[in-house]
Amino acid sequence: MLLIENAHVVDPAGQLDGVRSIEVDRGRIRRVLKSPPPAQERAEYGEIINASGMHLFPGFLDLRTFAGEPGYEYKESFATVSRAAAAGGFTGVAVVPWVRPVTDSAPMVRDVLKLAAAHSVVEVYPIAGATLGLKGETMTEAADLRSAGAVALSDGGRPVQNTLLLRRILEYAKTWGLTVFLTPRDPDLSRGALVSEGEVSARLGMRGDPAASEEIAVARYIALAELTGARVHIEPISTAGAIRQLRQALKRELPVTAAVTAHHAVLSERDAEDFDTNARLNPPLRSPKDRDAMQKALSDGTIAAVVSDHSPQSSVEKQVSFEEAEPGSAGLETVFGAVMDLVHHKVIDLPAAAGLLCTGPARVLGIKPNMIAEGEKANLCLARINADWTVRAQDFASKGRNSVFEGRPMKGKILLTLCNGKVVWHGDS
Amino acid sequence: MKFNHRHVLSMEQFSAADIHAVLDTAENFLELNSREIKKVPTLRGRAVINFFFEPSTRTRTSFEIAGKRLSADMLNLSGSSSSVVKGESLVDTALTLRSMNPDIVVVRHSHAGAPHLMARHVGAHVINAGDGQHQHPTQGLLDLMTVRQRFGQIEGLKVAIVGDILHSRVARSDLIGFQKCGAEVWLCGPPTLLPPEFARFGARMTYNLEEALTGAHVIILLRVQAERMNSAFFPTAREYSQRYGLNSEKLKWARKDAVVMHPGPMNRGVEIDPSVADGAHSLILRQVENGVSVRAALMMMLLGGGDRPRGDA
Repeated sequence: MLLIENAHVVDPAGQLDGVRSIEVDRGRIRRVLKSPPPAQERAEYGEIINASGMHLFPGFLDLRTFAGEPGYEYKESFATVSRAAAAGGFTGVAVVPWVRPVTDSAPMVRDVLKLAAAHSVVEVYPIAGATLGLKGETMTEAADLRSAGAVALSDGGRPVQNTLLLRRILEYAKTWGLTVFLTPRDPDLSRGALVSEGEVSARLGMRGDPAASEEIAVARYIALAELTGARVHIEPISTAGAIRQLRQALKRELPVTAAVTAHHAVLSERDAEDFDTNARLNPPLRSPKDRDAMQKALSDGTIAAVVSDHSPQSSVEKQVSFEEAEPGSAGLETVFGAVMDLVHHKVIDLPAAAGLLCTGPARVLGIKPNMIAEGEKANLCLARINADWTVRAQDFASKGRNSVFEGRPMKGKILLTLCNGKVVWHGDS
Repeated sequence: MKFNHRHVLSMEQFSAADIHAVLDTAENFLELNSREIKKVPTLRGRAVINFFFEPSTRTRTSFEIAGKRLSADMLNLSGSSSSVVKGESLVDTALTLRSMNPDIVVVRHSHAGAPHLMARHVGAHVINAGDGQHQHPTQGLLDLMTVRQRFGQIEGLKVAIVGDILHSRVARSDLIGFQKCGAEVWLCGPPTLLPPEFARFGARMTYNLEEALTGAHVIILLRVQAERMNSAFFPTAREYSQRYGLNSEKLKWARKDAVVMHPGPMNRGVEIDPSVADGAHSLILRQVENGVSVRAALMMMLLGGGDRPRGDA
């Protein structure tokens, strides 16, 4: 039995925000104590962690993790991605379907789960393709995918162009209780875009992605959510215009949720002006105004979740020109630091931060969130929210060495992560 | 005047004083052109690699002549901008070049920022000979030199840059360079090729050619790429030519002593009428001549060779 003593527990689902001591036994939380057990009982514990001055959160859930397997083992694997997740405080990751072969059939979902069972140290939730091969042409067998273990459907980063097909996908997915993840982008407007359209694109001579591309797509998805009543999840969003529309949709209680990446929540295009391929992202970093709109939307609940958009790339894909570089940042290990940046700057408070990483993502998938309460699974992470560190991707547990935060100072670090009671990450404290 | 630059990547890096220092040095080279023996030993034993990842005859030749007149060993390499075609990353290419110990690497690449990446890894001075639609600093400098020669100064002149601003690295370099030297820069083109963001860089903007040309001392015409003509940036080459092409009639909108420049190669009959290209106002061939001097000046200044070509071959 493990005792985590005198931790400041922040549990958004249980609305707990105070100092507690937690007993973990056989994978579960046995007791949550207001004060540490008396001295005579201490011999009962196999291990005691003095967590005073530290914060204990329910294990985080990521909605956008590229696991590399099957097909891209040179970029990432379940063994490495799950350790990266654990290092970031995540005890669950929803893995995206754009692997090779694409996760678009029940056997492929089972294959992903089998690989995860063999190699992952955290829980894995497969997201399946909404269309075969993510080509946007033929619906996948949603019911079969559901029974095989898929938690959601996704357009796979490639918007379904045929609106009638998309309507049918949403109607059908609704029957099986599957959330559908949709990418907010107009493929024609965004074709070949490398940076956000605006001052930076004009100055650098690189094709810009106009905010209108995202806004048009968001309008389309909201209209379809209203038409079908299906659960639509839009991610990753990056523009102030998308936020305006989301606010309207939520006011009208439409079944729409949205997520932002940790980097779009704290960085802007100003951080990507020196052709650093680590800042080649999809969508691109936006203007400071858009970034501020993300922060406002995080603080008022318009955005349900912060995601890693974990996209590890090998050096082959980043040591090229900006134009040729594969987009993405290996994000799992920097989400917490980025979100803590919002906390330290008083954009959101700690319970809200935990909500964006635990309850929000669970709500998007329609699954039960991790909680710090008696009898719950011991999915926990212990953090020192004031710990200073500098991002060095070469030290990542992920295979990815590409981080848009490379070299940046962060304040907030995960010290210990437990998944089903097992220590899956033990950082240096 | 100290030249505190390790690389030449963008006009943004230069102050007005830097620009005039480069132009002064370049002027010293012009005289060399008229000598019978057009070679000085300034860069003898130095190695300059001309690495052109996209096809170019004019700029590559200009750098080659410049290097040879300074007695540098010139090596021409060409390749594809695509790492996939090449089978190696740009960083690998840079590291390979590094092991050859060049003194200067001149880089032309179809992707913005490629020379910047090279500069971080190649271990030599890098001169950007054009990167995608981003910058073409040596073209910017030779344009400034050509204008300064004619008017004796740059400050206070009205400079109209006309055409495909959106896709033009020359426009980006000229805009910055002329502004730094105190000129008033106007940008003119169809709205699809003139993004409104350029106004934030202090340029005056107009879709009306007459407004751009009125009172202009300098008219810089940009090439309209064939592929733009077929991708709905404007309806037809004919309509473009009517609205934004320069002919002798429209040239009358500008000052009597106005000069016409073009980075080449020209589409005669589209952005420029042959009567203008070959007319009295045209400085297009002078630009080519000045290009060699500007490039020689930069090579020498990067390698700390002083500000005039010394000695005789």
